[in-house]
Amino acid sequence: MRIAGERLIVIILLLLVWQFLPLTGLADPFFVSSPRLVGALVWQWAAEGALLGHALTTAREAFAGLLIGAVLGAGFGLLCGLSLIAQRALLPLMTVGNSLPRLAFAPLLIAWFGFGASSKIALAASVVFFFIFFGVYSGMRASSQLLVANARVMGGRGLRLLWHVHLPQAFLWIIASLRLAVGYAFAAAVIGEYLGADQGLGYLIVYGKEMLDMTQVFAGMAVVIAIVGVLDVGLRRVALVGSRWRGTEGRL
Amino acid sequence: MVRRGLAAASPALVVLALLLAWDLATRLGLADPRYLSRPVDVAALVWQWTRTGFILPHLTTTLTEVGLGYVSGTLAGMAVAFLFFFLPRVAEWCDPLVVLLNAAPRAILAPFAVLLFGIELGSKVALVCLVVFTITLLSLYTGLKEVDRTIVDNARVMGAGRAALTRHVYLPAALVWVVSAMRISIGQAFTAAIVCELLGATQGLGWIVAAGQSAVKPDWIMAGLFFASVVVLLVDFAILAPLERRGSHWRVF
Repeated sequence: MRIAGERLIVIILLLLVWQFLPLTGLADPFFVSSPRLVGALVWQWAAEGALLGHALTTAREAFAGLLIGAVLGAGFGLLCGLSLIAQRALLPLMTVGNSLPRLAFAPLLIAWFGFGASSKIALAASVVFFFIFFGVYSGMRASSQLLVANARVMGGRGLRLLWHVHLPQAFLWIIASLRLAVGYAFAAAVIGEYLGADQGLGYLIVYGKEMLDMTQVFAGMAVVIAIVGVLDVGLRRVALVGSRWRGTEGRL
Repeated sequence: MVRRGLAAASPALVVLALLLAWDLATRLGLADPRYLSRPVDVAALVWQWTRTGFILPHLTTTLTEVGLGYVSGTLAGMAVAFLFFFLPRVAEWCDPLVVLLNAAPRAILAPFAVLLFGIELGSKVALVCLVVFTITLLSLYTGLKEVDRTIVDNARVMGAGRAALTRHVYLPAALVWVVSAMRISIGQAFTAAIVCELLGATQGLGWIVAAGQSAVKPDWIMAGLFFASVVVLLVDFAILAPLERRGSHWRVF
């Protein structure tokens, strides 16, 4: 409780510094804006209903990309986890693909899929894919061979083995990679919107940039970070609940 | 023998099949080469840029941005991680800020950087520095907290003060974490620099891609991204991966 109070004081202090920095002459109010202005703009967007519309656009792109990327990533992850041939052929490619600067591929996808939602969905999916792929693949690699062997002896095979033994063990890895992936899916949607869109939070931010309106850039950024932060905390809860069956050992 | 060769070559075969599919799609009219370009065209452009030296100033620009941001970010991250470690009170106060920094991928801050630091080198270095700083800080701070208590206690018994502990226990342990953070952050550092260049630059690999986008030249976009990918992969697999292996093989902590 004491720590929470102290943290609150630190945050309030920082906001005050931000608010009153221009008065000291150290910073130009044009560049640093102020928390009051940013708050007022977010409030105004919310009151106009524009905020919800733009946030929904971005969220829809991010979640569609998350879904597509997660399904494909999980599929290929399972394939590589179960089949040695697939693993030999695909794993090096995945490792290379994983280290590419994928968010920078936005212009390419916009050239392919146009300025609409589909290019952002494709970008988000391409980013999420590798996270989930490695989450599922490492999860399956890390699953205890003893349990797998025991289940085999008791007649488990095929889908039942996958469902009862592999997947529960890979669950933590999948949740951990999902948590990373959510943030990246939003980043992909937002960066896609920077480079060509007519709605969405990224559009708001980049419009503010073109108008040299720092307040709008701050406000848009604050909304994005707030959404991602809330989702991150939520998924952390899910991970805790989902790992109860393990006891304390093996928690991430 | 044949099977082993086939297994080793299979990733290359997959890539070859994808390239062939791409080429066939544009030739059979399934995809419009105006938007998708062709593998041959992209390869020709890559070769032309290499031959004429057109790519060189752009490469050095991006590499300079990443290099400067990378070194300053790593050093700043190390400094703050040690500060947090020795002054846990400060770490507790700053925790919400760290969570905030960590919540969203930092590349989305590119418009900020461009507005605050202009379209020249400064904005890219600042963004790369922030990205690398965050990763180094989080990785190293977690790492320092996990240094084996027994080793620390043993060193204490043998008379080590804070300075000696830092020099002989914490720094060597930290090195492992710093190197692994460097490995993680290289991709993000390049992404940050290139995304920042996409939003406003006069030179650099991202600038090439942005120019290709606004001129609707997919072969420019692809050739630019090709160079970006090759550079990232070279730095990652040829420099940092061996460094990470060398840095961690003696690891006892």
